[in-house]
Amino acid sequence: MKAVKEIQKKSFPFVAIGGSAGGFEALSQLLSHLPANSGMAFIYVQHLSPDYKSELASLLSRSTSMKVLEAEDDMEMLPNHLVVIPPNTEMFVLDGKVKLLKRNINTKKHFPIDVFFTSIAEVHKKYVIGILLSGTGSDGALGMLKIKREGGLTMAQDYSAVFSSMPDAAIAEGAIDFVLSPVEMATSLVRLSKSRQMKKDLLKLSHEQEFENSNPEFKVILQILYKKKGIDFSHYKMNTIRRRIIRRMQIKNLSHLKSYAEILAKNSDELEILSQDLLINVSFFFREPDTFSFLKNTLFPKIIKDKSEGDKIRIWVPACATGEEVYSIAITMLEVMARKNKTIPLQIFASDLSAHVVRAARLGDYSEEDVKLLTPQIKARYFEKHKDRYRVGKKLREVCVFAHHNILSDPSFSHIDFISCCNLLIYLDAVAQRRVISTFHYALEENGFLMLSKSESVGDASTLFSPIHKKFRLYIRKKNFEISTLPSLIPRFSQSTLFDRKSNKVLPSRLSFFSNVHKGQQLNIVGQSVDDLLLSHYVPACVLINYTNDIIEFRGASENFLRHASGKASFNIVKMSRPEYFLELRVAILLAKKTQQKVLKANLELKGEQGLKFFNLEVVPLNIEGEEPLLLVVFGKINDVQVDENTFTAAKKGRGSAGEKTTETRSELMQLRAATLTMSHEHELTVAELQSANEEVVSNNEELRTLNEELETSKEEIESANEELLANNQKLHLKNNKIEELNRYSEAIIVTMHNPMVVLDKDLRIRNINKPFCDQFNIEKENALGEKFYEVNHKQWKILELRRFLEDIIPKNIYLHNMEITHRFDTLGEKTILVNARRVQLKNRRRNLILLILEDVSERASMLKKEKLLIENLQRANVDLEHLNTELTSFSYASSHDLQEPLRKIRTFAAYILKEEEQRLSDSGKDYFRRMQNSVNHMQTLVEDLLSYSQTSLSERKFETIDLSLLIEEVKAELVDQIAEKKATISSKGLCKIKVIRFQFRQLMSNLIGNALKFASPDRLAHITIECKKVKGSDVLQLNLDAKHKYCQISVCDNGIGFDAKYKSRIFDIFERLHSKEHYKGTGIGLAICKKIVKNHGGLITADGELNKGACFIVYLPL
Amino acid sequence: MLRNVRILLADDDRDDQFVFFKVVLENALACEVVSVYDGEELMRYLLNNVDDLPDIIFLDLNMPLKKGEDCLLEIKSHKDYSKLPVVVYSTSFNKDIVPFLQKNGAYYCLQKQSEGGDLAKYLRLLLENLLLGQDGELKELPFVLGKNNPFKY
Repeated sequence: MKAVKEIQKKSFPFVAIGGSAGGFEALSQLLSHLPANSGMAFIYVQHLSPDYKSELASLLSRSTSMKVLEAEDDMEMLPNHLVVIPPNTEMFVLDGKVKLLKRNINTKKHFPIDVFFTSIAEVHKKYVIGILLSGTGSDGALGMLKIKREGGLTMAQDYSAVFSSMPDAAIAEGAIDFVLSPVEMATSLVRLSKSRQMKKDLLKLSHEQEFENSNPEFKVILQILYKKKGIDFSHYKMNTIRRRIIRRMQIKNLSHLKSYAEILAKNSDELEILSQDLLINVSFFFREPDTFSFLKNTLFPKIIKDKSEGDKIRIWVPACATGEEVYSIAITMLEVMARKNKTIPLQIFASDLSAHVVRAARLGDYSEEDVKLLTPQIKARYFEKHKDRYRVGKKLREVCVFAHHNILSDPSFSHIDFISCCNLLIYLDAVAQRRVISTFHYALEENGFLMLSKSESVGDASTLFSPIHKKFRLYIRKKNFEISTLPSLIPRFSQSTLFDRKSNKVLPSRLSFFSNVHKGQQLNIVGQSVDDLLLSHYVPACVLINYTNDIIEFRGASENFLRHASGKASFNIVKMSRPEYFLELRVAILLAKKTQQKVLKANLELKGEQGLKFFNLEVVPLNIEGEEPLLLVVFGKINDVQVDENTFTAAKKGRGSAGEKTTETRSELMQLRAATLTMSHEHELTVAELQSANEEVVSNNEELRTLNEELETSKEEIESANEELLANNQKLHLKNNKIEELNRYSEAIIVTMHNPMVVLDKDLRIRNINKPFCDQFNIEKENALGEKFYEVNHKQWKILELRRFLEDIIPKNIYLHNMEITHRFDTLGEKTILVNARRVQLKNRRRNLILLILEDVSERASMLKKEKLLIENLQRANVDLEHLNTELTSFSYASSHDLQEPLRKIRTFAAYILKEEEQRLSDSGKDYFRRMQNSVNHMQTLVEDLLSYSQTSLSERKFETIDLSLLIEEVKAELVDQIAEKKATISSKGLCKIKVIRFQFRQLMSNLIGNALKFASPDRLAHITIECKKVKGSDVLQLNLDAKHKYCQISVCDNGIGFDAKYKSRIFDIFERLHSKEHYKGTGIGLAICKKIVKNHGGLITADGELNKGACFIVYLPL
Repeated sequence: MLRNVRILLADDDRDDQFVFFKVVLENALACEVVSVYDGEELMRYLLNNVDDLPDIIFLDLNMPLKKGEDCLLEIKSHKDYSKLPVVVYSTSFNKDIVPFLQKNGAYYCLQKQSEGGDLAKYLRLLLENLLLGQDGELKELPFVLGKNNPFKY
């Protein structure tokens, strides 16, 4: 088509209608519902026979008041006009006018509808409404697509079409906006004519058919599919399923998913169609479960049963693809054999054109998805599982042979019992198909079975195969060896009418074909002989024909009636019949087929040499179980005269004018007959041509459809791959972000961390170094990077020990934890550093790194050192002190001891002198000696006291829990003399247990009690009270005791001379005396010792007194 | 009493010996005193007079050569004289020595007195105890006798 100018002046809609067989009725219906002034221009293109004048225009004008014209070249398309295509032309639009072109008869493919639609769409674009009506073939599909693409609107006839393949083809292309009945089309057109926004208004409706994947009805549909077909589609691509469902809805002309779901639930055909739709390109084991159960329960047992000893079963699966079907068949056969307990050698040949696919099939490696319909037992018995792949096991491998084989060119297999050939024929053209079918015929054994896929058939090769089971497309090989190459009169795709959309009936299938027809029955021999005789001599001439008018059997002298036609050899009864009666024969056959009743045609003429003869013709339907329907054509006895005398006599009588008239009529009739015969021949030829063209086109369509499906799937795959990529991208993005975050985080850590850090590679080169490191060790970062660690900064870090360790870190994966290194740095002096080092493992092992973090602990180290020194010093000092102490103790002891002795002696001898030389001494002399004695005494006491005082602080601090009362008793025992002397009474109260240093405390008590005795009053009897009680520090505020602490208060009170209270603190001072030596002996150390002892116990001692009343000494011991 | 108590005095101090003798004589204590001047002599004496051992030993601690403590130990471990009462007679007793002496079987400890009269008093007590110990019950006496302030060093 050359480029056409878009004519915008024409602003009315063009309705381009295409139709073929059945289109006329549809169009008539449509037209009768259209007003005459719709304002649209109509053009109708119908498939016509090229040779005959078409009455189409006049016939159509009966249905409409619009003007109906046959198209002429250069005709204008006007609104409210209907233009029809003339025969033998191709019509297209140019410059807004209709152009006619004589049809090229030589081209087999004739698609006038496509041609016209395409051209009008190009010119008038969105002003075009395309309507496709009933017809065979697929003309118009592409044209509709073009219209749609150019912005126009498309409608296809729905199930009301007598022949739906044309509308279906267009729908399958996705070229159809609406699927309507002719009446509905008319209504829509009317509506459109009124509206300006043509497409939009109508398209609004189409959206009702759209639905979302989340639609609950969608799920219902999936459930129905699963329940009834056993296939789980919920894991399939939802969009694909959705689109297929929408398409089916369009075809069924439904707008709501719910209504489609309802139909699906009730109508198993629709379910079948939908699941087939969805299953395209999906292959897995036992894909057609019902087919396989048919094989398992019916066909294979039959095959096995018919086999005798020593036989083999041979099966051929051409177009085996990846082998699922083959192995499924193998499994089924093996299972049946096992069940029947018969082991017949089985051989399955599987072939495919693609070597690659054959290899895959031979490998027999399948996924979980592929084997999902298999039971676990089957899987276990026939497969070996590796991870989640299943591989066929020995049992299957033994029986299956895979071959790379071209079914059209390579020699075929033979002696085959069963051929399963699914989805091969649809990809072949008519010629190839015929070839394949005959190959199959050749390959199969007598009574071998052929099974095709549910959408295939043997077509016109029905001489070779008889259908046995319509649903499963099962055929049995016919014994007829003849290869018929002429197409039959019944178009191939009328197979679809087997589903009979009009009546919604499925024609009955024959189940009980396994009769014993082939096995002979017991006849008695006599009877048989009689029958033979009758047959040979008395049977009238008759032939047995099938529904395609091919003679199968001859009986009797049929040569009188039938003769061989010239041309290609054929057994077609119509061809073989004589022109005289061929019409009647034809009619009779049709009638018999239609009514299934015997049809009698009487007085048929037969031209013989002896003139005109007459005979009767009978056509009897003959239906045999297990065979295709047949007809028996019986040629009756040839008579000279017509059977009905009266009629003939009357005719004879009518000679003269009547006779002439008769002769005229007869000759006219003869002419008509001849003409009709020719016409019929021509018609047959035309039909045949159309047929083959149709077939080719349809198979092309099928191919295209398959390709389309593949493309769609690819598109889906790409889309999903895209989605995956997007998702991955997203993920990567997120990961990237995360990485960036982590990077920033770790950088922040590194930067904030104040420990020196350095990263080295495996050669100990510095990869990274942080600021604290540079600062603390006077390194420039730029200089350091890339340098070897121990060479950096004038080999500052050349520490052999460290280097050895570092070199081991990566290879041996050791790590250093707080390894202490002391090293003298040139500029920094000696430093002690804790080294922590670890390997950082990267994906590429050669890039492993060492992470070094240091802690300068030099200060701490030196401090520690100093501490250590100090401690050592202290310890030494301690030791020295101890020694000193010991010396001092012994010194003190020795000195006291040695000092005491001379003093004692002086006293002793002074006493002796006084005693013994009393008379010889003067008073003053005695006095001098007494003074001397006193001094010595005093000195002795002083020495004792001093020693005691010094010892108090050097003694052990061993605390014991002692009973105070017992202690007091001990003291009392030692002071017994003094107590007696003073006639003192000592009472005690509340004496408890106390934790004290025993002998020190004893000394304390002794001192206190001794003092109390010493300072007793001469005026009264000495009475000493010792009291002990527990107090809280807060009770005795004036003494600054710890308020929270508890104390044991021990008081020693006397009624002696007392003392002036103002001296109460001074009396504890050493050498402090309140009285002269003459009056009261005392060194002034006693109370100092007491104070010291109490201090050793962490306590406090106080004194209180009143002159001439008494004194009280109170000791507070912390508890 | 059939005879005098024989006292063996081991003391290196001549003055102390003099005083001891004097006190015994002047107070007419029923005892006779034999003296040795050091530890060695002491042990020798005992050895030589095994058949005629003294009744009581007054042992000074601060002696040259063999120390009093060692003599005490020796005496108390010798099969012949272990039962001899040994009074440790010293200028001073520190807190450590007293338990040691008690543990090792000293009879009593007697601090050297400044007054002769005091010494006599304690000797009488000891002799009484000694004799009573043979015949009857012991008098209740503190282990360390003669300390002015018992708990002073």
